Amino acid sequence: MAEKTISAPSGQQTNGDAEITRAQERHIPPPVDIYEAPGELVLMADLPGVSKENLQVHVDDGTLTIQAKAEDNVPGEPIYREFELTGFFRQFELSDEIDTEKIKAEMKNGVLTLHLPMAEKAKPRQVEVKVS
Amino acid sequence: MAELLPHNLKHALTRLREDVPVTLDRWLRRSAVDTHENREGSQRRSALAQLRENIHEVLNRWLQRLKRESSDSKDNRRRLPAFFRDGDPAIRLEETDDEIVVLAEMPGLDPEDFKVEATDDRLILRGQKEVESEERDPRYYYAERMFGAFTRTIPLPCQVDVSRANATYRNGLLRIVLPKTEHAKANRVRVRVA
Repeated sequence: MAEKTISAPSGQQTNGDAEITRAQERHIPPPVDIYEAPGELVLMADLPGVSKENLQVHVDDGTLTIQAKAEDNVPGEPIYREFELTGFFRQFELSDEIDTEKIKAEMKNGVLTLHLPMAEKAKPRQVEVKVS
Repeated sequence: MAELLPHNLKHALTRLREDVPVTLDRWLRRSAVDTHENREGSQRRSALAQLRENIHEVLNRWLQRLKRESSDSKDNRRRLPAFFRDGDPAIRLEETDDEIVVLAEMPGLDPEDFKVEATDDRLILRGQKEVESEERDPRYYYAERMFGAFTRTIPLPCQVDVSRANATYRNGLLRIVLPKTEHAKANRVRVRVA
């Protein structure tokens, strides 16, 4: 599982940071954990402020795309800001070993969990040896 | 995590990984000479040999993880959002005429995992974020999310009425609305620019 180097939605210029800050909508790559579990890979992404409705996860030609929008309904004048309520975007290249038909997604407390099951052929198989 | 570590930590760890086994090997040999192969000595040696193995393994794992983290997120590191970056949630403060609104990014916590305390001039967020994976020691490809305990004290820009404070936690975002006291509202000065 490797990260795609193009890390912005299509149609948006990505030539360096300056371009991104000038784009109409900013996109931040969410921090992720990806680890191996029996028979699958598990991906967890921090997406604070994102509801289920504002999240899109899709796989297209072996590329996994996570795209989301944090709800921004903050009244008043900003006094101090350490984060922006903005868009999240990140892509990963999936290996052939992942059964893309069976990917499951859950969203809880602003954390996306994706279960990426290994295709049957990629699972290690016990070979029975018969001795005649 | 990688960006929090000093730049030369990888180098220091590599040195340590090389040095520790060599030093322990030397002890082991000296101990063999000193004790003339009695039982106590051989027990001590096997304990040392075990320790040597453990240290080597821990350092190795740490190094591998460090290597992976720095190679994975090379171009994204600068743009990663700030939450849990140094263990504390990232915050925002907003002000309306009647209220101070504090927002904190705390993804992956349950409401019982954190506490919000308020006084009339400050807000304290305390909590603990646990690793969720069911595996004991899973093999990580990416490890960018932050875990652990945090305490964050936020000084407020004016006096608030704590008894009417209201906190909601939704989608990993904590929002605390703190009504200003009448005193604080009265003290507001409008400066007109001609």
